[in-house]
Amino acid sequence: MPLHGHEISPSINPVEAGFKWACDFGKDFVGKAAVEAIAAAGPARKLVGLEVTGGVPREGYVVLGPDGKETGACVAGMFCPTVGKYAANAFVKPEHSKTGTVLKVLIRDKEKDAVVVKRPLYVPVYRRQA
Amino acid sequence: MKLDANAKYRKSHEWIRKEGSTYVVGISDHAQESLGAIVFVELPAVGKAFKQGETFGVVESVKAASDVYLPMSGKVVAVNAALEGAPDLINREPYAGGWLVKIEASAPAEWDGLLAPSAYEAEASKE
Repeated sequence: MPLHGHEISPSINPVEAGFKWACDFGKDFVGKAAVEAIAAAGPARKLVGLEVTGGVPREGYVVLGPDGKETGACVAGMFCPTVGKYAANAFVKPEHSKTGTVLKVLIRDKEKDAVVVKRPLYVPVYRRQA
Repeated sequence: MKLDANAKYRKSHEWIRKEGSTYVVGISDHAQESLGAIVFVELPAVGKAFKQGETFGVVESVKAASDVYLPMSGKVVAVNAALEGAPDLINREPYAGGWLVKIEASAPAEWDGLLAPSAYEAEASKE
């Protein structure tokens, strides 16, 4: 779920945040033309889930691509007790948003391993086998 | 708050206790309670030397990441490897299994300047 100010905000558009499905293009709304243009061109960044080892990712931490260059930043991060892992939501360049992509997160100036994972990180109740 | 009568304390909530020829360092019961569930600990490499009051690691809880400061100058001779898999040991046993590092003190006289348990309790309860 998006939290305003983290996964969605006045500076984050619904296409990059993965909420295009929540925009009803069948009717008029403020910003419709802009959102349509972004959807047609493709977003400049995408919201992904990251699993991080060796540290706790936090909001604002820089994410590095496989080339070692900055690809984005975390918008939320914490230890997830249900899965026992450190995870973050981050915006990264579209070419680095595929599940399984190996990235790095800068935690106190140290590069820590991160991998793009499918969200949610847990198996939802409605998909669990009885 | 629980205290270790044999340890001395820093205002910043670390404790230190003499054990044989080394000193053991951890964070106080009051500190672990204020931080909440501890989920990650970053400790220095063995052999690294720090001055009194220098940051030697980070303790992260669900709420915050906090630097930890060395109560006395010295060289790290051991780190608590058990915390890597079970950082919540600090919550459960702040003065026993939840210790952070062991040091070889380079200025043992610094011990005299640290807070006694009663003085620390008075400081901590002001918060």
